[in-house]
Amino acid sequence: MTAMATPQADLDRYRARAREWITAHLEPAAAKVTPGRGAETAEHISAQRELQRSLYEAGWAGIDVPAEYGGQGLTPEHAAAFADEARGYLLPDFGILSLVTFGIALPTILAACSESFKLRHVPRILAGQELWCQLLSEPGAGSDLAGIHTKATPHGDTWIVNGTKVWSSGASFADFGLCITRTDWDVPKHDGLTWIALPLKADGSTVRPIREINGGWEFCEVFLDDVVVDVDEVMGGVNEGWAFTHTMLVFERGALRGGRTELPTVLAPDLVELAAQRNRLGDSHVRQLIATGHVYDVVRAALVIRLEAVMRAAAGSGNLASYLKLAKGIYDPLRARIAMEVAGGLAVAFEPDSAGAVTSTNFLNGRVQSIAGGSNEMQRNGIAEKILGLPRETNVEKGKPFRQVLADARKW
Amino acid sequence: MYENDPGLRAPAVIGGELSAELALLRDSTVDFIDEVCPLPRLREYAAGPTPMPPDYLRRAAELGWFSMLVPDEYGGGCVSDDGLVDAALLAELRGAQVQPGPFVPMNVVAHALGRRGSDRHIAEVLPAIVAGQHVAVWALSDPESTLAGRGGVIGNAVDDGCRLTGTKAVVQDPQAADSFLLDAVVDGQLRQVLLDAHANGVVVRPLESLDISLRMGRLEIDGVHVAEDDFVGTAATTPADLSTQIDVAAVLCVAETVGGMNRLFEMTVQYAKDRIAFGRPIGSFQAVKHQLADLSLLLEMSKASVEAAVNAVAADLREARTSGTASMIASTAKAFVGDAANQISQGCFQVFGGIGFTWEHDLHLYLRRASVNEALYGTPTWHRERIVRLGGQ
Repeated sequence: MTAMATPQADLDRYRARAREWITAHLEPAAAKVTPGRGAETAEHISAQRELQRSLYEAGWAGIDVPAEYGGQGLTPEHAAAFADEARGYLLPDFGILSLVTFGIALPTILAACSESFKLRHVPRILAGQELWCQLLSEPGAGSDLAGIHTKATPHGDTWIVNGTKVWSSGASFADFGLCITRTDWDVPKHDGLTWIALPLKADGSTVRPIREINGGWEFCEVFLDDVVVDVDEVMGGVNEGWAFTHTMLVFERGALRGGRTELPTVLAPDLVELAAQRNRLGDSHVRQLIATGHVYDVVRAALVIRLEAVMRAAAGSGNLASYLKLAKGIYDPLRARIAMEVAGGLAVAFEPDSAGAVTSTNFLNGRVQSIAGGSNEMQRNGIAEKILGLPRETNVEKGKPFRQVLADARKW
Repeated sequence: MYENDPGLRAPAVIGGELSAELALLRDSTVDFIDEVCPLPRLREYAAGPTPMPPDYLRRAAELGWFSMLVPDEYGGGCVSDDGLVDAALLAELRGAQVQPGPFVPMNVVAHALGRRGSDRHIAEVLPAIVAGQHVAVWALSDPESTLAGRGGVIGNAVDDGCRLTGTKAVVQDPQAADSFLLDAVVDGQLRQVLLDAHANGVVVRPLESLDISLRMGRLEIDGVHVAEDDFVGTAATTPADLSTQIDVAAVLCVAETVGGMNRLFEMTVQYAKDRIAFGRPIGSFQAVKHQLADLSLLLEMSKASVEAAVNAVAADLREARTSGTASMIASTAKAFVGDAANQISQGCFQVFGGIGFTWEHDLHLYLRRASVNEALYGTPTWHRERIVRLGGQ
């Protein structure tokens, strides 16, 4: 009896072909060390572009992207099968730009941009010719994202963009930025926003890396002086930017979600190692600190497991993600502080790459989540108003043209 | 509250949808508590000579309150596949209404006898416990400690058994008890015995309790004779048996505490919506909102730790084993919830203001229960030390 060609058999055949190509063309992961976040060099990025191009030309890029946009037109299961087989091999690694380009920009473009936009950009993204970053925050607009001032003014068949963006991860190596601009100042804040594909290599665009407290260069400031953008580079509709923002944030949340979470069963290995190095494992205060760190680790994992199950089951409002973000923002710094106390002098004076060095770096980095991607305060507002149902804050901007909002703000 | 996120209304012990059987258990338990011992009646009993309605335990037993951790063949039974899940759900519902009675210590004894009891225990005592006709409490605390194994009671072998002498502190409902499960160092070895509360030489010293809805006391034992069939387990099994008992007690305790904190938090959020100051509900002020959001996170983390601990210890009970992994998770929940309940009850108190410091307001009932549960069966500090030991250090 001959077997019917079932989807599973298709998938198995696809997987086998993928494995064959991967083993012949990709390097095993152990062979090379990838640079840390924010430590990529131009040489590294251009080598990775070549690698992405070879994937694209061999038909392994955009596996579940429609064929008319340069993808393979297959299912997410096919994409997962390839990813599965490629585990343990070096895939193109653009650092944070991998996540932004393929996890945020690509799905947002496919979901919310015009046909001509998709035909123009998606094949180039898949071929490694376009890396994308986000141009959201500004020196004057962080938590209040819709309060941005970067201005796009129509001029013939173009927009002229002026303004400053900040905290753009990876902008120095990016080709385009998902850029939120203000296109109408005489309507309420959320109604005058438009997203534009901003060409970062164009005249008038200047990228300046910002050095962070940990010494890294992950974020950039982007100055936009009369940057000219074609009208058809608008993403979504003109003045419909707030709806586009929501679409993008949904993909962003999805891209940031980690893999499957499991409860840690090994006692806080970093803290045990530090205590052992200092010969303090018998000290009851240190033992309490180790246990406290372990308790945080376990309970945070338990929270992720529980709430992700609730969100899946209820096809939820998405608000519950605020708990996970607030837990990071509160417990990352506490956890990092515990390691500092266990480490004592080891985290103050250390050999490079030692446990003490890692501890001090984590201590500096541990505070990022309390302000990045929605500060603790924004999460608390979301939990209080959207989940607990407490009355909303009085909105002093309601119904006012944004121009008027700015004028009135000076009268407080 | 939770209008857009009904998933958050799930019990702590089971994050998802309840099975029809568990939903029935929940509903019948809620109805029973509403009818027999709602908070106004609880207050009357707390001030009276007995802490609960006369037939409270027997009627609770009809709902299965003391059968969940007992094997079917000994007259026990549960509605889900895991008795500990059912028992923890009951504990959570009890916590929401600060119910009286020795629920945790009696279930620990039922579990211990079901696993290690003598033939006589299984034939005579266990069925009576399951039926709520025999009150058996776990008296684990040695003096100056809320924990066992410090040699608070010493046994000396005699021809037909042994004689016990010593003290057990912080014993729940000692006056109502018919028997006590306690540990004793007998000829240098740690053992457990089920002691007849009415035996010669057993004296109960009633004490006042921080939790006014519970009765507490001290047990003084002076040369009490116990026979071979009074022992529970052997010298070889006792250390692991005690460890599992602590796991079971910890899980039930944190489930009860989280049930209480969940109710207190609901009351507090409602109050923040209702109370007007400066021309607006106080819950519209960001300072109050942020306080409540932080408490809400602590509550959800507490629920998550309870669910994880219930699942881990239930798996150990199913396999009749004592794994360090499950004990670590149980201790994690006990340590975290003990600390979190303090923060939640203080945060709720802050929102209530003056009314929360009155006897008339129910806040102190929840605060008292949470504080007692924090100390019983190991304080957070003790459980953190246990975590490190179980973690191999």
